[in-house]
Amino acid sequence: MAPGATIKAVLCVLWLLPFSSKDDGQELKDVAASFNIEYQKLAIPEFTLDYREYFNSIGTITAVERQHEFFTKYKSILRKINCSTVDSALYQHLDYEIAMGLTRTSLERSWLKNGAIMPGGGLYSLDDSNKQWYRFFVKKFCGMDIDPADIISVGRSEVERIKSILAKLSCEDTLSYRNAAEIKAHFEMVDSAARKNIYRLFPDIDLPKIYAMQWPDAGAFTPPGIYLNKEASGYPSDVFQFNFYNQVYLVRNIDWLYMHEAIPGHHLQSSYRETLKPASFQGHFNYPGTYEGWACYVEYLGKEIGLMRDTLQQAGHLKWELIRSVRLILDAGIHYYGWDKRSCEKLWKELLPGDLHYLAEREITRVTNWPAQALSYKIGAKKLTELREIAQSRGMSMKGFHKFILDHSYYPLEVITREFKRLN
Amino acid sequence: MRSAILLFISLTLSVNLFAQKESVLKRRAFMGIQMEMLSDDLRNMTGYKEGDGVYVKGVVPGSSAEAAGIRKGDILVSVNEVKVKTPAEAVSAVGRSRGGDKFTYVLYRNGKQVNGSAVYKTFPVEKYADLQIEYTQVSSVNGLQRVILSSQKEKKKRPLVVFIGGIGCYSLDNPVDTTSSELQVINTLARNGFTCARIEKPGMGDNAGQGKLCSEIGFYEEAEGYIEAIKMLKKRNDIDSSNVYIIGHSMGGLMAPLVAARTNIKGIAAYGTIGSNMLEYLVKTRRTIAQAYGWKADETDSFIKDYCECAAWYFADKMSTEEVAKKKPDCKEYLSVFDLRSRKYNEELYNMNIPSEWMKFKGASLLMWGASDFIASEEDHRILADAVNSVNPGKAKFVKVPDSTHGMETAADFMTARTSPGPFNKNVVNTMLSWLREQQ
Repeated sequence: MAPGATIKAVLCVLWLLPFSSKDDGQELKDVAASFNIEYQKLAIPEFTLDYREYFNSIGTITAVERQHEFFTKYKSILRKINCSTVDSALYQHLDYEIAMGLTRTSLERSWLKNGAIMPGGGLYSLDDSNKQWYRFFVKKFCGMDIDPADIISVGRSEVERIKSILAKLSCEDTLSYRNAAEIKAHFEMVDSAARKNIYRLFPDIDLPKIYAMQWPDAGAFTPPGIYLNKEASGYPSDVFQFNFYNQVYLVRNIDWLYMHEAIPGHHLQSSYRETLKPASFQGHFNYPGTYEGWACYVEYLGKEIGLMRDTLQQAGHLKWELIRSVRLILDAGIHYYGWDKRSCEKLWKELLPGDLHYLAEREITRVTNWPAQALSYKIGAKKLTELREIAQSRGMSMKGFHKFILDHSYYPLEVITREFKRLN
Repeated sequence: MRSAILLFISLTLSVNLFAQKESVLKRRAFMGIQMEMLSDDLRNMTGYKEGDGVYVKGVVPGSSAEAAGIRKGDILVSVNEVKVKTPAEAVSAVGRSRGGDKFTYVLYRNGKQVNGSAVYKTFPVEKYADLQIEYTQVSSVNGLQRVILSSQKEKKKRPLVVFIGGIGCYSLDNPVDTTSSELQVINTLARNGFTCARIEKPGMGDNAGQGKLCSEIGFYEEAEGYIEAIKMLKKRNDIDSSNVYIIGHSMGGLMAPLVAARTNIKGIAAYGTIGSNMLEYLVKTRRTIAQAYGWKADETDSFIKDYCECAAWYFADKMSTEEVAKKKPDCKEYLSVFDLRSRKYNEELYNMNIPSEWMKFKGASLLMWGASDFIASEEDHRILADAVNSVNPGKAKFVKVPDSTHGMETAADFMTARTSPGPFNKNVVNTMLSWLREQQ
């Protein structure tokens, strides 16, 4: 969590009590509604994964100034509401996005005034001595602040932890499927097992059928899988696509991938989200730290729901976790410390086993082009694990904890963390 | 990542059926559905086990498909009694239809056959708050060709910039996606006071069914379309005929001096073009292609040697790609880019002395190469700049644009340019704009 976050929340109460109105709850809702209307009118380009598309989409200095004025105005309006008597999460969420908007527009303003030069090979080459751009991207994707040195430290400690477990598993993990029907049959078996047991850990919810299908246009740079909601994708049902490029699929990548993309990962999360009633402005923002963090976090609950029973599946999960951990190091390395491609390739080969070396090009390219996105999985999962440990120490049930997190699916981790800590 | 969405639009259509004799080119038809191949997975999900068709993933609002009642989740079986099995076949089935034409369709919805008919809506046009887009046409040896003009709305005489694209048979008329590099160049120049013209290649876009096919014509025949269009445009009152420029992208850079020789052009800006004979160009750029693939020195050497053999058989010995492939199977893939065009086109290209054509040009020249462009070579651009300056000192300028791919996108190096290029690199058009302003 950001060092200043708690202080800001306290100040909010201390400073603003004299300005509070009689019905702050309604006033906050009204402010959120007008924020939403004015935000839409600004037509702010959607934040893209690829930083090059993002920089290309930055508007004119006039447009950016107008956005800055908008966020400044709402910062002032929000300060006049007594945050101790309103929906705390909603207040903090609005406050969070206003602060993010001000940070972004300040950075964009400077960038435009300094010639709007597109950085090549990542964010490091930006004229930005304090590396505020990278810190902004980190917060944008993680939903919370984290220092670049800590990102590398988390990555390295995770590499050590995972390697020590993998060393003890020692199994032949190259077994593969060559037929899509076999893969689908395996996923269906996993789906059936998961559905029988999820009630133990997760709130009751009517989970629609999810269809496992081959990724139609997968290529060498396609990730292992993806979840697609039927409304957004146009498919007849919610689907989970697996990458069967080259007609080879490693059996070790069944359980964790299913848990991540389907149940209790994205499919459960997405289905649960549909039961929530967010404020209109919340639909404009999304938080990879919250949803990818959740999907990554639940992969560690396999045994509790009848999955991850054999060493092959455990090894598959850990090997992918190893990749995610090295991505953390590369991300801060490329964008904050300015590592070149050759250094990244060397590090990849040093930290990962030989059968994963072929992924170096794909992964380094991804981390270079999508600053901070790769952090959202591990940083998000780590935060959720920390919160669960606190919950368990307080005697909260796993099911209760997961319900709390799912109830806050529309929020960034910074707000979730503060809200969680407010629970007694 | 989401699967690519295929738009049911006749953008790249090249159908040359019974050419209509029109003096005004009508806008083509717009079906407006997003499609996917009917895979076994989709058959299982939809329960549609028998017969062929394409899955409708989405319907574009305001399209003919929406008006005809076609819905997301339908399986489109035929259009105008032509059965469709792939999105490409569905695009072809729309064929050379025009807005206002009637069409029929057969589809399956929830296991039941639905037959319908409707009238095609016309293909959308580009619309911008600050630009005027005019759709006109020119008659050339290739038939009627669409000419699209982009300029600021205020009526006044303006300098003209004609954009000529690369080797492929593709349309420059795609209002559904205005993020293409070509359109970014055109719109930026238009917003800065130039009138920008695009001339559709024969058989492409609205030209479908109007005359010759892009894939069948020669290099010089293609040039005729640009020449006729420039001659026509120079007669307009709103064009400053003494202030006309060509921007040649890739193969358009070879076309530019040929067109300029017959149209009295003030300047040419070429990006990612060829400046030496075809065989030399191929050798140089196979090495940069190998770098983009990360091949080792020994693999690169074998690749270049193999490629040279294929190219020599094809160009010097005049063998067809099939004959060459019999001698060395890899040649089929290596030479596939030349199969995009006719034998005549490729032979004319091979026989051309490119520096000689540029040396005949008396106007100003800008030779731009993107530093991440592994398809074209830096040396070729320097060769052309030096060639022009050797006969017209100071007339040519070479500029290396950092982080720019062959497609004018952003990428830090050759490998990134191949695997994951970013969006349009604005430095390309900013370089063009600065140079154009210097010429005013």
